[in-house]
Amino acid sequence: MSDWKEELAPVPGCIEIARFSEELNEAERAHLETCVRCQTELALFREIDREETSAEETEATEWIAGELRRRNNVVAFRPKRMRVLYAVAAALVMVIGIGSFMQMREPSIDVAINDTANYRSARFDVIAPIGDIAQAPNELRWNVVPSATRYHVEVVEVDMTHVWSGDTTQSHIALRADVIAQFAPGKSLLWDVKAFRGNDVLASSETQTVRVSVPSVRKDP
Amino acid sequence: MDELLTAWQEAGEHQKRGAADRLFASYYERVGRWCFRFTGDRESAADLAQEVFLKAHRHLDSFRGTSQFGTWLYSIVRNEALNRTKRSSVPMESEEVLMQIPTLEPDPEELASRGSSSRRLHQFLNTTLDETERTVFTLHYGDEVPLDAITRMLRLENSSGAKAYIVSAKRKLARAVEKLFVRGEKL
Repeated sequence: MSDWKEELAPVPGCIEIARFSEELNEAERAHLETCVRCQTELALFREIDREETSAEETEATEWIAGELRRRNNVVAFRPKRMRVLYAVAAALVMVIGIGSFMQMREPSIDVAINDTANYRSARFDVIAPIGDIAQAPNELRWNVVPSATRYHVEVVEVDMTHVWSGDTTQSHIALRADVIAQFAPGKSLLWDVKAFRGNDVLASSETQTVRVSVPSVRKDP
Repeated sequence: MDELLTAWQEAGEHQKRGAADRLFASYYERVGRWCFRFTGDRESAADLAQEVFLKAHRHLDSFRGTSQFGTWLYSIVRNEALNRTKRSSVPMESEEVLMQIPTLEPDPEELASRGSSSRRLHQFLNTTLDETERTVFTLHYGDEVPLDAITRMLRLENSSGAKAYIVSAKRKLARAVEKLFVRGEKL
């Protein structure tokens, strides 16, 4: 089955999924005629994005949207008086909760604040590659994050299709030849890196967009 | 919705977060529906949608407006949904049944191992299988999506769902390969 996975994987020239709602150009239409992968993606997109909706789907969709609003604290419009009541109720719950916690907790002992706290959710800078570059990179490099024991690097396409990911204990990671080949001229790829200590994320880089502007063929020394 | 995208694009640094939240909130229903169609249950769909919006938020700067924003979100939903389906899949009874189907030599694995070029292989699949068989075949063997998930995603209403299409596809491929061999041709 693994061989089929390779044979049916997207190849250069495959249509970006995000393009399926646009009018395809001539080259894309020609490619679609012959590419089973793109035909499948288009069929799946049409099926998942169909307008016809069952009663079960409508009900589920409303529940999911409500759940997302709840989780993300997006408050739908309510009359002002109700909002004030909600705010007072929330404040009361918080005061009672904090009070209970203070009463119930055990006497504190002094614990040194470790570096994890300092770096949690922090950002750190990558070094290279960034933006438009002359040739495909051999490696990805970033600044050291103190206390990090591991870095996880991910390269994706602009539509978030996974290209490659790897882990290292260094502040750089070499790219395999097949990954380097993905940095084709004119094609944008995104990459970022997360610094870990154990399973805790200490810091994350901004997502970098990289595009090779010339052929990526490298000469032997 | 496009107005919200424009508002986010034009927002100042301090307004970006709020503008992004409003933009994403306008897609809760649509993304929720897609996620439900991929997962088949609302709790998993809500978790999936949450993950999708987190990813989209993280990569929002990379959206360059070359496609509709909604379809860009769909591509994230699709990737995340299929990755989750693969991660959670366990060997299924339907797979075991497929493995036991006799007289289907050469099977798809052997076909691929012959190292035929992708283009010829795609042409072969195009001429041998019908559209639904190709779609089911590609999702199952190319993306490793379990058959029950394919049945749900594609709303296949026949009694054995995607399994029937896989069996039919393998049978057709085996026959077509035999014909090639008889003519002394290679795939």
